[in-house]
Amino acid sequence: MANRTGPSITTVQALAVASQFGITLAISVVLGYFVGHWLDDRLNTSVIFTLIGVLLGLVGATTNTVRLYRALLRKSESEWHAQTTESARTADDGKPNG
Amino acid sequence: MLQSIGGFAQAFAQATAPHAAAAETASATPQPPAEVLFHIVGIPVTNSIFTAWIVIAILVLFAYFSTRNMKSIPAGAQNFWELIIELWVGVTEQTMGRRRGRRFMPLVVTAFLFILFSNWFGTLPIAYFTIRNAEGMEVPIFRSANSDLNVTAAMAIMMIALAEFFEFRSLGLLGYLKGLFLPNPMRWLEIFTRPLSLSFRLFGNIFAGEVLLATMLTVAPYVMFVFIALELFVGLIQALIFSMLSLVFLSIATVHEDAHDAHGAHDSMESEMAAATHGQPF
Repeated sequence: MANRTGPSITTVQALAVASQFGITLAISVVLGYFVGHWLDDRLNTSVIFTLIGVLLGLVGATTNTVRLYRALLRKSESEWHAQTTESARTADDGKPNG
Repeated sequence: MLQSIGGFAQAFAQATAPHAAAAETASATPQPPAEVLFHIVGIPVTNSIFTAWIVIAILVLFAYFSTRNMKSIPAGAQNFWELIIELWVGVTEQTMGRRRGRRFMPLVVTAFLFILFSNWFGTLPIAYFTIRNAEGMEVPIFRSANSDLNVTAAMAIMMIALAEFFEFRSLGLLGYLKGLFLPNPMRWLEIFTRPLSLSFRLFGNIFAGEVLLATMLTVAPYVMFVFIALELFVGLIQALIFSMLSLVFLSIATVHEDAHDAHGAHDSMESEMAAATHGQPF
């Protein structure tokens, strides 16, 4: 395995996250808009819930994409830690005593 | 060389022109709803479902005949299957560890192969063969299964339902309900956005590809090869993205099982490292 400077994800994983972010953002905002619009109609509250819905959609899409990205990084991160620990242990074993 | 390519393109255009013209009488370009071919016990069978059955039959027969006499030194079609399996063993183990990776790999690879072959099937010239259905309409016999939103939505819902089921099973009812709002208060949104995004992305890309091919066939049939190559590439990428995202969703859903295993030391560091170094194909 090549030495890495830090945790990383593969090209296909990066493509999947990027593609997921775009479409999740669109769907979340549209969902938020429709739910907010429906609530505004029911409660006669102008556009307050529509705005809240759109904002929640934006926040939700972003946090969920970050969660997805972190889930992908988690495995790579543990491997990287294991690799660096192993390298440090090997370096320690190589040192002369005293 | 160029002359032979030009001649082949002309022959291809001539061969498909009558079918394209016939299809034009029904509709100029493919329409989002799949066309009904026939009925079985009153249930309509669309051309996308019919194509899905054919793809499934091809995959099952190909897998059966190429693996019934497996050898330790692979030859012929066994190489193909070993290549696919080894690539995905590397990907799944890298994403979710050895034990969970091996557990979910068959599901993800099945989805990958079905999507890939369905996408590629849609680019074949046989997609322009038409038939007159019971309603008397001239409809294409074959249509990529993934150019029908019903098929992609069914696959996406199945994947997300499985992910939620495994999360529910590993966390219990209270843990699952708590996880919908804590620590991320918008986590519940994923239940709606994940199946929508998975299904719409796949449907959108493949359906757009079919429309593009149908349009280019009438506008510029001599450069069809470029667009067919593009669609083959898009089909591969979309199959990879759908499978990879399904894998990650399943990984997120069962991440707590990994924590239990870490305490039980089922997966040793050596096996994890061996799994990590086994292969990084992509």
